[in-house]
Amino acid sequence: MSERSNLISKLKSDLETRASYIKAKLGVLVPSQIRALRLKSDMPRQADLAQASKMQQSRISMFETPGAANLTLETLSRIAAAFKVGVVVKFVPFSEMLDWENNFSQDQFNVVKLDNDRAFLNPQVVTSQAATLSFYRRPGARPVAWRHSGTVSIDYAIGDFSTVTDRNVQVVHNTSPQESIDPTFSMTFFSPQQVHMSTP
Amino acid sequence: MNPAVYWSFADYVEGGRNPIADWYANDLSDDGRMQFDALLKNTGKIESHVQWSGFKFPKGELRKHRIWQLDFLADGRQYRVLGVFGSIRRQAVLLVGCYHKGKVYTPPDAFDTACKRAKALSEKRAATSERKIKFNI
Repeated sequence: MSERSNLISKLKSDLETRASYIKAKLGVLVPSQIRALRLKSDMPRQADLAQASKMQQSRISMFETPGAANLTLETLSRIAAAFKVGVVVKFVPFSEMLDWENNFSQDQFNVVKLDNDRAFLNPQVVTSQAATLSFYRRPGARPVAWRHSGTVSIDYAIGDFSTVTDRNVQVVHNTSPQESIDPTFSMTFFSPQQVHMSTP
Repeated sequence: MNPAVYWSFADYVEGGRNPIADWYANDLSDDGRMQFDALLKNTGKIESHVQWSGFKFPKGELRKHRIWQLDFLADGRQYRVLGVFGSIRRQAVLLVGCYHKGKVYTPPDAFDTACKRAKALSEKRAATSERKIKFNI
């Protein structure tokens, strides 16, 4: 049996193995995010972050060590607050966690800080009864939208939109992608009162 | 699109024996193995080694041999992997795995062993074996 098959078998049958697996991913990616944010911030020394978050520098050092123990929601909130960013903690399928791990790059990781977060500071909320947005889609690409529990989810979009959740669509760019071949693909939101749009 | 992977990792091998594979299989718990695998996967994607989480150049004899350390925590233990940069560009060679409580190391001769292995590698009396990073699990 391959190492992967063996581990999957254990993940399916054993609670402790599942807990170890989850802890290992979080134990690397959370410290790595903290390190990335600190190095890209205006407080690149651990001592500066310690001061901003009102914690000991030794604790910051510990939180940046892979496998860091005792990182509570309280601590995460305090560190995020010091960086002026938010934190999302959500339960996901194992496949999504693996994707997150594989796609994560400490070098590329950065988060818009509150002072520059225009989508948060100046949102335009759509309140009309219907809203139609245009999408660009490559030939053969999967459908970009489907109805789900009365709201609309977006699965795949190229160029002018990024998707967030099934209740929140954020417009990032309003220009056509250069490589686009398809005509626009229109989509109507069936529960427009739940769609929040932010213009760039 | 997956981010670039800049670094590869290799185990120290001498006389056909791979002590890193032995440490991984026998001295690490399931927790430790998963943490170590996740650490290497993430570390390989960080271009500058000075920005690796848990990385530093220790002082003293180890530094003379250009040995670095990579720290991680698992099952309540502070693990430390000692390594050197290999002859291949952006290759990190793992020499010794150990854990410590304060200044007490297990195995106790971890530093001496790391120095001997670094010397053996530089004198080409030892070889390396690539450590596969598990992107599928």
